[in-house]
Amino acid sequence: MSLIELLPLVPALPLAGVLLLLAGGRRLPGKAAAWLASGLVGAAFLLSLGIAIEYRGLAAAGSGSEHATPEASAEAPGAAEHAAEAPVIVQTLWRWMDVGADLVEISAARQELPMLEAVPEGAVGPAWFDLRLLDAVEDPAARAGLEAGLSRMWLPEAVVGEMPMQALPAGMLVTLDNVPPAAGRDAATLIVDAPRRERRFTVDLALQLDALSIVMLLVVTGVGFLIHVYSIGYMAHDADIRRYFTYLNLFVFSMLTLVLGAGFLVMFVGWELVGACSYLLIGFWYQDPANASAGRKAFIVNRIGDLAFLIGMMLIWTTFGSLAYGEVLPAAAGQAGTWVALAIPALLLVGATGKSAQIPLFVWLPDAMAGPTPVSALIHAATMVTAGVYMIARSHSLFEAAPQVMAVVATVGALTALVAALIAAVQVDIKRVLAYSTISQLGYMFLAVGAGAYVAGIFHLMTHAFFKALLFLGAGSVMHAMEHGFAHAHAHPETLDGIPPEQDMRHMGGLLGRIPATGWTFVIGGLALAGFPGLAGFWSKDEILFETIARDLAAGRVGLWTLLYGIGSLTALLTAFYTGRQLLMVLAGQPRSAGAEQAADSPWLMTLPLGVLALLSLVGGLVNAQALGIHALADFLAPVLGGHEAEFSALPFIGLAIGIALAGLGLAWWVYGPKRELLAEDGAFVDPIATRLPRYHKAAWNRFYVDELYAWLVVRPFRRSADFLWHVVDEGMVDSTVNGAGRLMAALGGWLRGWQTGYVRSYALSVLAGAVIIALWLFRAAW
Amino acid sequence: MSIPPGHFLMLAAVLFTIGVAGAILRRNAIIVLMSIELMLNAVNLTLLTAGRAMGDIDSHVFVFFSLTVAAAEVAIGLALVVAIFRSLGRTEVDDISVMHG
Repeated sequence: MSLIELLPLVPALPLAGVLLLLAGGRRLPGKAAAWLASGLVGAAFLLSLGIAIEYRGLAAAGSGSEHATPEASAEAPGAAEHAAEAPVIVQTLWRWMDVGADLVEISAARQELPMLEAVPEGAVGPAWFDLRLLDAVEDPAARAGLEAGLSRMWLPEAVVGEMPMQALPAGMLVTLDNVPPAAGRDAATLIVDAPRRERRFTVDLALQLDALSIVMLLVVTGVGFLIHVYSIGYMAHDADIRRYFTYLNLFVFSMLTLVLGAGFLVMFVGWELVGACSYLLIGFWYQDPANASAGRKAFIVNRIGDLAFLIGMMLIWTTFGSLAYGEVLPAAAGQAGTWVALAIPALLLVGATGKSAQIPLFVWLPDAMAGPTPVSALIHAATMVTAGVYMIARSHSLFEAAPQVMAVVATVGALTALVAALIAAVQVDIKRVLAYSTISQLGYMFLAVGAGAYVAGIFHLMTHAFFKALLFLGAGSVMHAMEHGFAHAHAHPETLDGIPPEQDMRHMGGLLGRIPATGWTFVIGGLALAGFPGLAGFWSKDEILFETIARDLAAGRVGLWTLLYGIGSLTALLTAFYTGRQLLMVLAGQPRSAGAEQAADSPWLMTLPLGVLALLSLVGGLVNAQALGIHALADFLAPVLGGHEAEFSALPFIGLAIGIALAGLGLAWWVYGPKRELLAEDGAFVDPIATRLPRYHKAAWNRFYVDELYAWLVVRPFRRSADFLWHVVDEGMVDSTVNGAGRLMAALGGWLRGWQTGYVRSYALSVLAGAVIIALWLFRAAW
Repeated sequence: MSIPPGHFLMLAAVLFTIGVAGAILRRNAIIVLMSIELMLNAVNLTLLTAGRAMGDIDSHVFVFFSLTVAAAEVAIGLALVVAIFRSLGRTEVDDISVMHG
C-alpha cells in the first residue's frame, strides 16, 4: 500500500471536516469542533509528509511506480537531466466533463477515405475543402461518413452548422480551420487531420503530484495546521467558533484543490473556492457592516482578475485543445510568437494580480485584515495570496513563450513591492503594516517568477509563509495581550483614526518584557522578514535579487533587470526599516498605554505554533542557502521548474544585501530606538516621519490615494450609470411606459362606462343604429 | 290573382317600424315586449314573402323555429316582468337601470 495512492485523502480530510461540522456542528461543544477541525488538518499534514517522503524515494529510484501514470513533465532546458528521474503522478478521480464525444467517432469514420484531389492552388492559411470533391468519393460508406462529419464539424461558417450536406450549394467552400498549410498535402489528408480533439472538451478531475505541488502541499497543510491550533486558543471565546472552523477547513480543502489540480479548470475551481472562503472569513464578524463590505471589496476586486483568468483558460483550450497541464505546458513553446502566446500569459497575469494583490488590484488586501487575525495569517499572508505566484510558476512554459509578459510580471512585482513598502513604513495599525508588507513580499515573488527564477519565487513563497504567518499570529497574540491589558486596567482608550486601540501600535511599546513568548518569536519573524543574515527571509529574498540582476549580468548589459534589482534592493532597505520600526514601536521603549503596561502573554495553544513557526523562520531558509552551497529545494523543484545555474559569484551581492538589511534596521533604530522620545508633550504619539517628511507621510498614510482614484475612476462612473439607469431608464422609460398603458386603459374604460346607462331604450337605440349602419353598408351598391 | 310581394314587404316594414318605435319610446315593460313581438313577426313575414316569391320551403321552416323561440322568449320576458313588478311595484323599464356604469 503506497501513501501516494492516498493522495486524494489529503483534500478529503478537511472536506470531511466541513461536512462533519455542517452536519453535527451544533451538537458539538465549540472546543470539540475546533479540535476536530484541527486534527483533520493535522492528519492531512502528516499524510502529506508521508507522501513527500515516499515521493522523494520514488524520484531517487528514478522510475514511476506501477499504479501511477508518469507523464513527461514540462521541462526547461536546464532540467533535462533531472526530468527522467522525477515522475509526475497524475491520479484521475473521474471524468468531470465530456462534451462533443461524437466528433471523435466521426474522425474514425473518416480515416477510411480515399485520396481526393490536391489542395486548390493558392490556398494559404486555413485549408480549403471544395465540397464538389465529395462527388469524387466512390465508396458510399466513406462518403456518408464524410458528409455526416462535415455537417457536424465545428466550422467558422455558421451556415454549415447542423445543415445536412445535401442542402449546401455545390462548390461552396468550407474552411477546415486550424489545419496548418502544408505544400503537397492532398485534400484527403487534410480531412483526416481535421477532426481533432480540440472539438471535444474533456476535463478530468485529476490530482497531480510533482515536486511543486508537494512543496505547496506541505506549506498549506503544515502552516494551516499550526494556524488551526493557534485558532483554538484565539477563537476560544467566540460564539461562532464552529462556523469559523467550518470555513477554515473549507479553505484548506479549497487551497489543496488549487495546488493539487492537474489542470487549469481544477485549479480554477480551487481558485474560486479560496476566494469564497476569503470572502466568508473577512466578513466573519459580519455584524459590523465595515467588515462585511471589506469582504465584498475583496470578492469583487478578485472577480476582475478571475474574469481574465477565465478568458485565458478559454484561449488555452482553443489553442491547445486541452486544459490539463500535461498536455498544455509541453506544447506551449510551439506557440511562441503568435498573438495567443502573448494573450494567454497576459490574461493569466491579470488573474494572478487579483488573487495575489499586485498593482493594480492590490487594494483589497489591506481591507481584508477585517477578518480574524489567524485568517489574515493563513489566507491573506501564507497561502491564498500566493496562489498567483504558484499559478505563474506552474504555467511557466506559457509565460516563457512570451518574454514581454515575463518582463511585465517582473515590473509589476517590483513596483508593487516598492509602493507597498512605502505605504507600510508609515502605518500604525499592527495588522496593516503586515498587510502592506505581505503585498510587498508578494511583489518580490512576482519579480522572481518574472525573472524566470521560479525556484527563488517558490522558495520565498515558502519562507514568507513561515515568517509572515508567524508575524500575523504574533500580532494576534499581541492584540490578545493588549485586550487583556486594557480589560485588566479598566482602561477604555479612544479609537484613533478608526483603528481599534488593541491593534494600534501608538498604544504599545515595551511589550517585550511583558509578553516574552510572543515578543521574542515576533522579533524572530520580524528579523526574518527584514532579511537579517542567516534567517529564512534573507536567503530567499537575496536569491530573488541575485537572480534578477543575473539576467543582465549574463547578457553583459545594464537594462531593465538592473533597474528592477535596484528597486528590489531599495525595497529591501524599506522592508528592514518598517520591520525595525514595527518591532521597536511594539516591543521596545516604555509602554504608551495602560493596556501595554498590563499586557499578559497568551495561552500555550497560541504560543506553541508561534514557537514552531519561529523555528521554521530561523532555519527554513537553509533548505536553499545557495551561498552556503545548499540547493536542496532547487534540486527538488528542478524537474518541474527548471534549474538555474548561477555562473557568477553571488558573494558581492550577498554582502550588499546584508549591508542593506542592517542599514534598514539601523535606520529604524536611529529613528525609533528605545532612547527616542516618541510622545509629544501632550502625550500624543508623534511619528518622526510625519515631522521630517510631512508630504511623503501624508501621501503614504492615505495609501497614495489609490482607493480614492478607484472610487473616482470606477465606482463613481458606476454609480452614475446606475443612477442613470434607475432614474432615467427605469423610472423614466420602463415605469412610465407600463404606467402609461395602465392609465390609457383606465381612461378608455371611464369613457366607455358613460355608455353603460342601464336604460334599455338606449341599448335598443344603439342596436338600431348598428343595424342601420350595417344595412346601409350592405346596400351601399344601391347608391 | 295574387298580391305582389312588394305589398307584403311594405307591410312588414311598417310593422317593424312600429315595433322599433314602441320598443324605444314606450316605458312600460309589457308594451316593450309586445313591440319586440311585433318586430319579430315583421321579420317572419319578410321571410315568408321571400320564400314564397322564390318557391323555397326553407324559409317556412325558419319561421316555425322563430315562432317557437319567440314564444319561449315571451314566456321568460313575462316572467321577468312579473318578478320586477313584485319587487318594485312598477314595470317601467327606466326603473330597471341598476346595472348602469
